[in-house]
Amino acid sequence: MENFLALFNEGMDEEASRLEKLLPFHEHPLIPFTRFEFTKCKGCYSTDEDNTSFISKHPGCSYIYGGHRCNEPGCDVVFHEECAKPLPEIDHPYHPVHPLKLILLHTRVSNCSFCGEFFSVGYRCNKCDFQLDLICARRPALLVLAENSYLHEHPLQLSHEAHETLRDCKGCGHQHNSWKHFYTCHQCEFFISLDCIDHNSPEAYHTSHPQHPLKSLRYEVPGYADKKCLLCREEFDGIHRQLHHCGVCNFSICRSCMKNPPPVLVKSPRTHEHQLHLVPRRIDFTCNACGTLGDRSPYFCLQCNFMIHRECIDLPRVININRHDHRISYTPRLGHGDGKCRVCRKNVDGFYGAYSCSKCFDYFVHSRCATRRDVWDMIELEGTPEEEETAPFKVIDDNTIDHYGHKHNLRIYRGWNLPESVVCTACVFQICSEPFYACARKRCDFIIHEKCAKLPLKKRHVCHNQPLELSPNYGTYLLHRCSICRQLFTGFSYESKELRIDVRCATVTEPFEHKSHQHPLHYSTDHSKRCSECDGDGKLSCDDCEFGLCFKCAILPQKVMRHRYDDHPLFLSYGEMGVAGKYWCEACETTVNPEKWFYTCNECGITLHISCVIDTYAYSMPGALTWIGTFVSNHSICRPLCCVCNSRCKLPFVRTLPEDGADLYFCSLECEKKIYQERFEF
Amino acid sequence: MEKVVLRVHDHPLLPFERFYFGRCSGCSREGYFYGGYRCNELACFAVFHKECAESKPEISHHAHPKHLLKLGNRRQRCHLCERPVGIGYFCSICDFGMHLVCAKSPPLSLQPQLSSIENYKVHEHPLKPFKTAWLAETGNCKGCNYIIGNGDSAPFYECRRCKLYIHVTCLELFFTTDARHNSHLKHPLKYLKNGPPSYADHKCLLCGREFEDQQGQKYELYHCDVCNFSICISCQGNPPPLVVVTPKTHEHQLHLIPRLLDFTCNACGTQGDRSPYFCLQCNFMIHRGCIDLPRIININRHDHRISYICHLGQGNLKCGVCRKTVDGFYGAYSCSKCSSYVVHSLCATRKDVWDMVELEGTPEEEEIAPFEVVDENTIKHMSHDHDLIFNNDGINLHESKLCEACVSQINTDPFYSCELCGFILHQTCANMPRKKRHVLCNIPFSLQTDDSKDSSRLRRKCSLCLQHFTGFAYNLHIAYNSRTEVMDIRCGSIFEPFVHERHPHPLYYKFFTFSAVAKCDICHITRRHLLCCEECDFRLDFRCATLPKKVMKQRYDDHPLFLSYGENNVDGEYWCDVCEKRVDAKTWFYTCDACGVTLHVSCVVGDFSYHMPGPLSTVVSEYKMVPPAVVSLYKVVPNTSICRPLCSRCHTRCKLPCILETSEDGVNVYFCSNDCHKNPWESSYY
Repeated sequence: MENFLALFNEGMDEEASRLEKLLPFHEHPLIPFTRFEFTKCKGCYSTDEDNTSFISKHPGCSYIYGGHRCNEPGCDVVFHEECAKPLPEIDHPYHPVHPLKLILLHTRVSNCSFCGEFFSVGYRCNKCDFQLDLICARRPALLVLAENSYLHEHPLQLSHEAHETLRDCKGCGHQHNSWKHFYTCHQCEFFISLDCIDHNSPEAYHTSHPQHPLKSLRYEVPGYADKKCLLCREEFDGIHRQLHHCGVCNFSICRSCMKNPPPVLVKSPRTHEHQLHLVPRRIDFTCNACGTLGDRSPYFCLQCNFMIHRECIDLPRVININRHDHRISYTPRLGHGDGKCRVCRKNVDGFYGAYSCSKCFDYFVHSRCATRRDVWDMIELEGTPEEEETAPFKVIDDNTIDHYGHKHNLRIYRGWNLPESVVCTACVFQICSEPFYACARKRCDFIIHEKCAKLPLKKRHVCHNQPLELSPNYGTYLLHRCSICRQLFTGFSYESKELRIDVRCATVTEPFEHKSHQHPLHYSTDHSKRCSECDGDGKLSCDDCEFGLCFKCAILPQKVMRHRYDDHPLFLSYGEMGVAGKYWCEACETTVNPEKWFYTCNECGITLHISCVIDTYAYSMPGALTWIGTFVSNHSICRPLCCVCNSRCKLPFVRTLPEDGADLYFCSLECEKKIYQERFEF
Repeated sequence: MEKVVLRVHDHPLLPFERFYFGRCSGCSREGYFYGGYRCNELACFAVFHKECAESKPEISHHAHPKHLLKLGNRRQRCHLCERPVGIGYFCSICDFGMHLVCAKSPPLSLQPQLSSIENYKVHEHPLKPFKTAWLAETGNCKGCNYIIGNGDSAPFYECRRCKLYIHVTCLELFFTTDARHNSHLKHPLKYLKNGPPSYADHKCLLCGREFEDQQGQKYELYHCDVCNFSICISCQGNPPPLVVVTPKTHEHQLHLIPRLLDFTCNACGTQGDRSPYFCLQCNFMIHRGCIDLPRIININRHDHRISYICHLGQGNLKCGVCRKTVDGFYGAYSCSKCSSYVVHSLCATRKDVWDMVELEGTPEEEEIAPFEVVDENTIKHMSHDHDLIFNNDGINLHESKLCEACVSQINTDPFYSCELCGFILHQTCANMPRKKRHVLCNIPFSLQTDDSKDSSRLRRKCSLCLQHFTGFAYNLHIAYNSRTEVMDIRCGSIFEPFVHERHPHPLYYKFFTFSAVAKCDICHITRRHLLCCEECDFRLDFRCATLPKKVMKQRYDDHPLFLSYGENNVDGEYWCDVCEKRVDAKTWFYTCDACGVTLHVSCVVGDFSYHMPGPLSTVVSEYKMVPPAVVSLYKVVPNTSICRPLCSRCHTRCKLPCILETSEDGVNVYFCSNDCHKNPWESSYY
C-alpha cells in the first residue's frame, strides 16, 4: 500500500507535463486528445456493456469526446478524461458508512460488490469488504424510486443481491442473470434493469436542445422525421428502434447521444484558437478542416466563420501513413492548385485543410483519408524527432558489404550467368544473369539479389497501418505463409504483430504498374472486383475500368528459366486473342487456353501452364522442411516416380522422405498430405 | 411599431429592418436597404434610407450662405449637379435648391485637386478629370449608370478615346483596388474585372447576384483567392450588417455567417444556399430576406387578414399562393378565421401578392355592405336611388331586360328590380363588395357603379378579358407608377381556384410576359392573362371563361340556348343558323337541346354584347383635345328588327344582337363590330 501511494504521488507531480504518467494501470505514457473517438474506454469498459449494447453495431463502443490515449505503436488504448484521472477517495451512497479509496490490482482481479463484474481498477473500503468498479463508482443511482412513478405504482428498491433464478426485465423483455443492478418491487414480481430505466424515461431534456423536452419513441418514428440521428448520423434501426424526438422542432437523436451527449462547447487549441460551438441542425457545409461536405451538426466558431466536422476536431499534426515513406503534416490551407489525394485519388480542395509532405512538394492527402484506421498507424509524431532510416548493410569497400541478414561479408558479382537452380535467399527466385551478392566465404552458400540486398529494414504497406520490419528468417528452411497472397515461402519477410508478408508482395506499391493492363492499379478494400486472371479477390483494382488483379497473379515472375523444357528463358504472356491453332503444355501435355496467362518461349514457340511452371513450393528454398520430409529439386534426367499417384513428377521441385535406404517421392502437396494422413492414422 | 411623421414624405413613415432592394425616394439611389423607413399607405411604395428620412428640416449650406435652406419637395434642378430634384433642400426666398446627397458634399475649396489616373483597374487607359456640366455626347457613369454630361456638374473621370466616364465618388465607392470588407477581415479583397476565377462560385456570397448573365457578359467582383470569397461591387460599396437586432424576428442578435451553407430557413421553411443570419444560442437560422417579416398583412388571394406564426404545427397544409406543401416546423402565414388557410412566408410577401401595407396595430376595418336592407324583400343599393324589390327568378322577363351591373340576361336567376323605373340587378351582382382583392394586382380594387346621369353609358375596357363593356367595374389606380386597371364584374368574380365545367382540374391565374407566347386552348388567341392548369397544359383566357352559360335569342329559337363545350363522335354536320355556315363540333358553340339548332359563339356574343343599349360615353384623356359633341353621338342598339341593318363598313347585314349606331348628316349609320367601327381619325377613342 505504501508503494502504491508513493507511485500515485509521483504521478500527480508529473500532471503538468504533456506526456502524463497518470496511473500505473497502463504501462505506457498517455497523451491528452480532444478528438471524438468511437471506441472503448479501457478504464470503464466491462463485459456488462456487451449485454446492453447489442443494439449497436459495435458492441461496447461508444463516443468518447476527448480524453487520454496511448501513443505507443500498436497500443490502441483510449481512456475517458475522468477514467484516466480517478479521484483517490470518494464517498458513495452504496456504502455511506466509510470512504472508499482507489485501488489498483496488479496480479489478481476482484469483483464488484454491486454488479459482480471483475475489475482491476476500482474503489475499496479498508474497513469492510466492500468494493466498486469504476462504472458503479461513477453512477450513483437512486436507492429507492418513489411510489407511482412512471415505471410502477409501487416503490422500487435498488437491489444488488445475488439471485439464482432468471427473471424477465420489464423494460427490454430479456432475461438477466444474477449479479446485475436492477430495481425490484417487494410487493409484486416487478423487475427492471437499471439500464432500461434510463432508456424508458418518457421525456428528458438534452444539452443540444434546451428549448423543449425530447420524447422517447420506440417503434414510432414519425414519417416526417429524419431517419438518422442529428448528431452522430446513426440510423434509427436495429432490434430496438429507439430515438428521442422533439415534435415541435423536428429534432431527433439516438439513444447513445441521449445517454452520452456530445459537448456543446469544445476547446481544442490545436484545431482552432477559439471555442467551437455545436450547431445541432441539418446544414450542408464544407468542413474547413478537411474540405469535404457534411450534412449535419457541425462545430462552429462564429467569430472566425470556421465550421468543422465533429470528426475533424483535434486532427493530429504530424503522422505516418502506409501510403508514403515520409512523415506528413496537417496544413490548414494548401493553397489553390490541382492536387490529388494520394489515398482516394480525388481532388483536394486547396482552400481547406489537408495533409502534405514537406519533402515531396506535390504529395497531398485528404484529412479524412489520412486519419483512416487502415491508413494511419494511430501514432502522433508531433514533438518526436524523426528517425533516421537505417541502411540494411554497411559498405566495407567497393565490392564488399556487411548485410544485416547474414553474419559474413558479401561480395558483389556482375555479369555472371548462374544456373537456374541457384536462387536468391531473400526472394527465393532465380538469379540467372542479374547482379547479386554472394558470401565471401567459399563454404557458405548465401546468395542474394543486389536489389534484394537493398530492401529497407522498415517498410510501410497499404495492407496494414503499422510499419513492417524486415526479418531475414534465420534458418532458411522454415516455411511461412504470406498474409496477402496466401502462398508458402521461405526467405526474407516483412513482419508486424499481426501479419507476415513476403518480399515480393511487399514491393507492390501504389500506383502499381503491371504489363497486363494499361492503367495504374491501386489497393482496394472492397470486394466488388475479381481478379481478371484467376477470378480471385481483386485487391489491386483500376479506377478507370473494371480490371482487377490479385497479389498472387501480380507477383508472377516475368521471366523463368526451365532447361528441362527449353534452353531459352520463358516469358509470361498475358493472353492472346485470335489464335488459330491449339496450344499445348510441354509439361503436362494438355491444352493451354491462349486467352489466359501462360509461359512461352518467343523463339521456340512452346507454351506451359502457369501452374506447371510456378507451383506451391515455387518460393521455397530446396531443403526446406515440409510436414514429413524435405524439399528437393527435380533436375535429374530420370524423373522420380510419385509413390502416391504413381506418375512421373513433372514439377520442378518434389518432396522426398528417406526411409530404410530407399527414398520416397511426392510430386505435390496433395500427395504428401495423403501419405501423412495414412501414416498418422496407422 | 410606431409611425414617424417626417418632412421628406407626405404620409407617416414606418421604420423597418428588412433587407429590401429598391430605390430610395430621398436620394434616388438604387440598391439594397438594410433597414430604413417606408410608407405604409396603400399604393404608396416610397422607401427611404434611414439617414435620408431623418434629414434635418433646415440647414445652412456653403453653396448658398445668404439664406437658410428648408427640406421640401419641389420640381426644379439642383444648383450643384444640375440634375432634377424631387426631395431636397430649397430656399424659400430665392430659387435655390439641391439634392439631399449634394447637401453633404464638402466645399469646393476642400475638395482635393484631381489629376490623371493611370494603370487603374477600372480601365486600361489613363483617365482624366473633368468638371464640365454639358458634353457634346453624353455617356453613362460606369458605377451608378447615371447620365454624365447632360447638366450634371459633378466631377468625373473620362477616357476620351473610349468614351468612358465615371464619377469621382463612384470611383472611390465601387472600384477600390484592394479593399477590406467587414464580413471578411482576414485578407484584402482583390478587384476582378472579368468575372470570377474558374474555381470560384459564380454568385455573390452575400446577395446571390450572378457574376455572369446568360448572354455571357461578365461583371466585376471582389475576391479573396486565399479563402475563395467572392462578393459583388454592390455588397462591397454597401455592405450588409454583421449583426442584426430585430426583436420582431428573434429576441437575440442575429449574426451574419458569410459562407456557402445549404440550410432550411426557420422563418419561411424554404432552402437557402448561402450566408444566413444565425443565433448561436437558439440555433435559429434565417434568410437575410426573411428578417423583419411583417406580422399582419392582406394578400390578394384571401379575403381575411393573415398573420405570421413561428410554428404552424405538423399537418398536411398547402400554400394558398403556390399550392405546394407548407412545412409546419417553420414559420408561415395563416388566417385566424380559416383554420386550414396557410401561405408560405416568401409567397405571402411577394410584390404581386402583398399590398405592402403592415396592419399590426391597425384595427380591422368593417366591410361596408353595398346595399341597405329595407325589409325582407327590399334593399336600397348604392348604385340606385330607388328601392329594389327581390324576385325569385326572371323567367317572365323579356330577353332585352339586362342586369345593370354585368349587362347580362336574368334568365332564371334571382334578381332585384325597381318598380319605378327599369333598373334591374342580379342578386349576385347586388352582393358584389365595394372593395375586392384580385390576383391581377396586389392593391385592392374599388367597385364603381355606372353613373348614367346624362343617360349615356360609360364605355370601358377590361384589363383581363380585353373586352369593352358598360355597367359596374372594379377600378384601381396607383399614383406611384401611374398604373390603372379596370376589371368588369364577370372577371372580378373569378377567384382561385377557378372551377370550370370544361376542365376537370382547377385553374389558376398566371401572367405571361411579352416574350412568352401563350394561347387560349379554346379560341387560340395569344393572351397575357390566362387561367392555367397545373396538372396538365390546359389554358383558358378570361373571355372564354366568362362566356354566359345560357342565353335567350328568340330570333332563332324560342328555347334558351346553352353553351356546349364541344362534342365528339358527331354523325352529321352542324350549321350555324345565323351565318349559315359550318360549325366545328369540337369547339365551343351554342345549341338548343330541344330543337337542335347550333350557333357560333362569335355569332351570339359580339363586341357590343356587354353594353347596355343606349348612348355611349368614353374616358378622354385630358391631353387630347376632342370636341365633346363627337363622342356622345354613338349608341348601342339591339338588332331585333325584322329587317337587319346594313353595316356601313363591311356592307353586310348585321348578324350580331347588338350593334353600334351613329348619325351622319341626319342619316343613321350602323357598325357591327369594333373593326368595322374603327376609322383612322377615330381609332384613338376605343
